[in-house]
Amino acid sequence: MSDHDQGIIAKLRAPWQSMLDESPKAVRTFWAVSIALLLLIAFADLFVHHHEHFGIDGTPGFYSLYGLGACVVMVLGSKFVVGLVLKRKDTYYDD
Amino acid sequence: MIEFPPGLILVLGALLLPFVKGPVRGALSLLLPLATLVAVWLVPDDANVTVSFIQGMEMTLVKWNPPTRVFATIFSLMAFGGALFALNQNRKVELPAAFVYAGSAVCVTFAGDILSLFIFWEMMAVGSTIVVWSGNTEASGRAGLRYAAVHFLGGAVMMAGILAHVFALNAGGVDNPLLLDYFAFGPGGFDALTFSGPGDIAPFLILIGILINAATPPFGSWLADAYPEASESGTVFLSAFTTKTSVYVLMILFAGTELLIYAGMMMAVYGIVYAILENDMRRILAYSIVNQVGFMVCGIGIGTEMALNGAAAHAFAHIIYKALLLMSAGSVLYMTGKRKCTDLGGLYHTMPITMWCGIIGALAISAFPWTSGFISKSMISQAAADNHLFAAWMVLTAASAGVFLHAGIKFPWFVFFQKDRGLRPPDPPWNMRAAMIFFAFLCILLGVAYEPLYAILPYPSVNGPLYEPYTVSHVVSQLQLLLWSGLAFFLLLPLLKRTLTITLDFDWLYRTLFPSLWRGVLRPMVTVLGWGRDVFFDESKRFAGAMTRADTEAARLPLFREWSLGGAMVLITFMLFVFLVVGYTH
Repeated sequence: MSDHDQGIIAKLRAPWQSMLDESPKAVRTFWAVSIALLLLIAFADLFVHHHEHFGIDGTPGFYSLYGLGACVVMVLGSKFVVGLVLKRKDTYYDD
Repeated sequence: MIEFPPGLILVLGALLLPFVKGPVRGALSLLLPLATLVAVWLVPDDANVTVSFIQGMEMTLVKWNPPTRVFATIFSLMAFGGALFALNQNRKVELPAAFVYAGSAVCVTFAGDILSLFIFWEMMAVGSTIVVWSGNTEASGRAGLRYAAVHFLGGAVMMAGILAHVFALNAGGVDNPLLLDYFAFGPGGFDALTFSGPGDIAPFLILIGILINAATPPFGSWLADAYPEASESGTVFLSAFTTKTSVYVLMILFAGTELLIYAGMMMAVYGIVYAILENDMRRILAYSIVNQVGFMVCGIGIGTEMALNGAAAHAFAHIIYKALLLMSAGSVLYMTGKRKCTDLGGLYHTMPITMWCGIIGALAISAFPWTSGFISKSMISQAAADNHLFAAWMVLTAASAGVFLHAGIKFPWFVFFQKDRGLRPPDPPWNMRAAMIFFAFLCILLGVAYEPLYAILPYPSVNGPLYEPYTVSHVVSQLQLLLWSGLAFFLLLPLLKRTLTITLDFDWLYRTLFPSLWRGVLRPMVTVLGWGRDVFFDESKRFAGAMTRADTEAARLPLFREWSLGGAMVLITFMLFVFLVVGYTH
């Protein structure tokens, strides 16, 4: 594993640190269950017949990918487009 | 038989509250909303209560419109939940004001003519302003004043539209031009706007007046500005009535207006973007109101029976889970005195009831299967799909994913989990816990037993079920969408780190730009004009003197700055009035 990867994993871990210190088992269980659910629900989609309206919405896994993709776009767009222009210190109006 | 508007029970009952104390006040505050709820259901189906008004015109105070039952029911229920949550607080005016506000909202839903609708609509603005002021802080004082200015401006715009339309109807020889039926502009009335006569700007002005109250950008920044400044119980009341009454009125007057599809899409996305960037927990939830109302507005724009049923059902479900979320946030604020995500975290240790109720509200707003959001929101998406509105469907689906991200996970995560700040407050007093548990219960009950809600929607089904939310396809799609959005949240968490920032919204215009224009341009101009007057009229020195005094001492008082805002509002209202008059004479 390269240093760069370590950096990313350390960043992803950081928000959990407080809870990892307190109960590492609970955090690991949460992640294990979550990942199992993510895979399970995406896999289940292979066996579900969707009533298509637009052609793409019946594709297996469409909702998984679209949910993930839409959120990534919205977070990046908020932070690096809107946030960059309109973000101010929260004392802005007090002055 | 009920021969009066049921909402008046709350409005008039509110006037009794200041005269009673202790347990009597408590009992009264819980009984009045329940009495209103019972009265709503006792109004006969063919009710038509009228009072005469000038020139033989009649005001219709009680009449069933298609969405009346669902909105009047939830407004009464909400007043009960809010009163229970507020039971232990001792602010004198907040609860009576909240009851006037809630009762007027119920009255709006029963109004059969535009004038009584407008009167109760304005009473809501008065009641809600006092609720904001009951926050009792300097910030809530200022925010309340801005809130009032925006709403009375909105009221003036709407009234101008109403007058223009009434005069046009009158000219057309209509008997009672106040009847709401004449104001149902529907798909044609607005889209076919041609400006051939003064009456033609009416729908436009009325629509703007309503959209201001619906918190549609660019008119909507008052919501995130004012609501989070109210008290912990005040915000709970505020979240429920103003925007949802606007949804009701839009549904009556503008169902099927295509413009609303785009307005709704914009609101849904705007709410998410601002909520993602926000640090104040109640402001996050305030922006998510705009996002949720966006779904409803979009549904009204689509305008089919399915879409309108969906919008009404979603308003019902939304009021409950949004109040629940704000009760959870309010409990945290009440027990810790903190409201910023950067100061909060780790509260799961000692506030389990607040946390679990918050999580249930979060799951409901995210429309998880077996919660109330699922059985209502999916109807709007379904209507978009059925009408082959690809863009609307894509945006609503993305926004559904975004709801889970910005409200569903972000709120509980930063408040109850993430970093332990060492805060160890207990759960709030019993009445606040009871209100949260009651609403959490309703969130799940509606998700499982949705038939009673479907039965009171504006357009009941003639044969067969109205809508079937629990198909395998729906459940699997929704779970995929939400769970994978959840993954996105945790993958992007390093980017979502909270900072001590706000994000400028349209209220910047009247909080910074307009006052700067006044100080930098208009006031110097007025001062110069004052000097001119001095030269020509000796006796006008007094006025100029007042002006220069304002420049020194008075200008430093907050009161003076707010006057400048009020002045700007009066000026704008006046210009709109001139616009209207010019429209007539040409």
